[in-house]
Amino acid sequence: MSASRGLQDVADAVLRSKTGLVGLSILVAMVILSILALAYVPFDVAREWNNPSFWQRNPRLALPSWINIFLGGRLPETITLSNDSFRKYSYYLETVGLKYCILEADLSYSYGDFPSELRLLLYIKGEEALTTVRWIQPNGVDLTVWKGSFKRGSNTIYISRQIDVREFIRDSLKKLNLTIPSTVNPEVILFVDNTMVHSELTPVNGRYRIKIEAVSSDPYTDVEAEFIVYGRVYGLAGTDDKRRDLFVGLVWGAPIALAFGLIAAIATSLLQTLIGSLSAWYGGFIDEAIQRVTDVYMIIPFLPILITISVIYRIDIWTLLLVVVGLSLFGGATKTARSMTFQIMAEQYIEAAISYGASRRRILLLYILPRLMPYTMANIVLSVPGYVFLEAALSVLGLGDPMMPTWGKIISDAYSGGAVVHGLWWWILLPSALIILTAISFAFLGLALDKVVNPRLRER
Amino acid sequence: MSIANLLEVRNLRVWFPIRRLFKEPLFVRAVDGVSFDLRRGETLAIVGESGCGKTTLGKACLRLVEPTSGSILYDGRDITSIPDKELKWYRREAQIIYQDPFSSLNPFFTVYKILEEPLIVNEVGDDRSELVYKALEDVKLTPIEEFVGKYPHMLSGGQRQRVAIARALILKPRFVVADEPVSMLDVSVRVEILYLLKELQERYGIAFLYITHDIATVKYFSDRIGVMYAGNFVESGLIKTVVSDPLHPYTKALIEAIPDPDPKNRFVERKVVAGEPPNPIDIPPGCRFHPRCPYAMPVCREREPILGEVEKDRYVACWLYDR
Repeated sequence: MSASRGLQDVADAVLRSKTGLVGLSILVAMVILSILALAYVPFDVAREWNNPSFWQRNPRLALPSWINIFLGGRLPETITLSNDSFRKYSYYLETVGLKYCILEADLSYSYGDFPSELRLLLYIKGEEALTTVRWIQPNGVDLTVWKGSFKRGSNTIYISRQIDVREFIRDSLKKLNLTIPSTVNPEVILFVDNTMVHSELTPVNGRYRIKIEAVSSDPYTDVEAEFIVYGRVYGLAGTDDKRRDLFVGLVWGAPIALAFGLIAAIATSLLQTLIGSLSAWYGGFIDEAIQRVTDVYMIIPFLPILITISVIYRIDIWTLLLVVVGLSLFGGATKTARSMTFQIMAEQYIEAAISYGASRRRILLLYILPRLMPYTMANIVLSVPGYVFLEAALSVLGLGDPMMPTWGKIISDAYSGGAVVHGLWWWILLPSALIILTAISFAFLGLALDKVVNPRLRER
Repeated sequence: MSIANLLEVRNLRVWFPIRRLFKEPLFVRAVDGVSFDLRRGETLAIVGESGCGKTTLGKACLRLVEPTSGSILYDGRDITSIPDKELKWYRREAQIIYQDPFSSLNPFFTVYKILEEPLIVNEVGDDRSELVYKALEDVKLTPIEEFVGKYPHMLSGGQRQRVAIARALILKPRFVVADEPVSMLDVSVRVEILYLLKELQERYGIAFLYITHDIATVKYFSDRIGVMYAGNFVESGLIKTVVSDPLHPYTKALIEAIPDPDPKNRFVERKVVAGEPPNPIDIPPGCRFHPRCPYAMPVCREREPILGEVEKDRYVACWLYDR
């Protein structure tokens, strides 16, 4: 009953002010995001955050796809031609003892920019196969992209990166008497009209065809293929240099940041308040001891110690939380709670309670601590952003949890991945915006709660 | 000890030390050698200026302040220095009503909870709500249903003081210290509250220690009076005799200071005691009142007068009446 009155004050203050409502709605949105994250992005995906092969079908450093709204849909999405989209023809010529496998797939391309990368994965069953990969453009120009033999198992042709692919393309252009650009990447040459000279390269939209011909001496040879045309945009938040979907990281960062900030704030505020009021209530030696320890705690440089511990032990985020709480057992709130307790102790209803025989513990728990609740609530709310920032700051310094995709970790990766230098804005701005948004929501709530803590601002 | 006495206080001292660096501590002599008896079911008014130690005396009687020396006997039992743990029975027997009804009620508790707390703490009653309703009925806070769910800030000063009285009386105490119970209330409700206390006293036989600075209210609710000055009694006796015929110069001055509502007397010059009450750290030697006393004699400066019986039930500490 008594504590609920404190909570009621807090709720009233939040719901009656505009800042409180704004802060609360941001926070609610954040919590919904966290719940959605847990529901829709399975934990396995987040766990694969540091496994590069999991993300290899994503484009590298892709912008968020909503950027196309402003660019008129110019930037290509990733197009994946799976094994099923290939038409397959295979026959065995007994006269020469050769098995022919032909795979063919169509790709319609309608973007204003070139893809970022091309990759062909081939899975050969049976013996070694001599393979030719051909690329037929909408205007009928037929280019050989690659020719060579593949061993059984999976093989990948990195069309954009392999030097020999460029040689093959150049050779086939030469055979067709077409212009040969000197140093243009395959993902560009394959998408321009090579029958004329361009001042500016633009991709030709239309239907392209990729054709794979494999010849093997083994009659049981079979070929499976997957062709990936990596786009330049991906998902809601783009990708980073390890092709990771940043949306997954950001969405998973929300529950982690909120949990870290809230747990740290609740634990430190409650403990500090409790210790402060115990200090005042028991007085004497206990008071003196707690106050001197608090003085020492307040002088100890918090961040350097935290950094030292993180460097030495390489701790994960929950251990970090424990260390943060441990380093904040005593602090400013201890002093404030102590002085508030003294003030409440001087009120006559406390003495009246002594006179009707209430025990000291009962008075502390039922009469004094509930009076400190509004202050503690406000303190919790106001200190959440601090802890969210702290986690991000430690991550940026490279001292955070190495495994979890936290917002700070993403910013740290962005920084080391040269996002600032190369103008990869989404990689830095999106996680920063989320951190700031979290901080703002709690700051707004705190502003509204000021009225609870500071009676002079009360309207009633 | 007489069987009629509920409380016997003998030579009670409450001194508060002021610690000083490298020096002997000083003592604030708030209560300095007080003796009195409180009979069962009667009211003893303790009157004096602010700072004369009357509140400290009341609290010391309830063991809310630790006495420095002297003795307090309650119902034949010495409660002066027994530890808090063994005082539980006394906490049910003796209660306090405060001056300030705004800070004497827990702002986070409803009226019901405020009244229920003493019962819970003392494990009294099988049906606590019945006792709570009875207590509210006793203090005439009706309709009761309307008040039980309210918080103190929703009540007026008089209503709060009634709740505070109900809380003090809900444990059926035999001894209540009423520490200026009406001085912060509107004049219109003062007498009402005093009559209520009187009525409850008659119904339940409670002995009151009525502490006040307002000698005008004493006649509504007191049997005997003790006038306190700078930590000790200067005069005590039955209310009628003391008020109508004060003996001690300080009592005379106090009674003289009561505003006279008769307009005929508006130009009559009043005898006001000159000077200020003494600093309780530095109480003058001899009679405490001598620096302000219009009748001061040489003996007053040297020796302290003791409270002596000048007639039956009439005690005065003054060299003028030394027989």
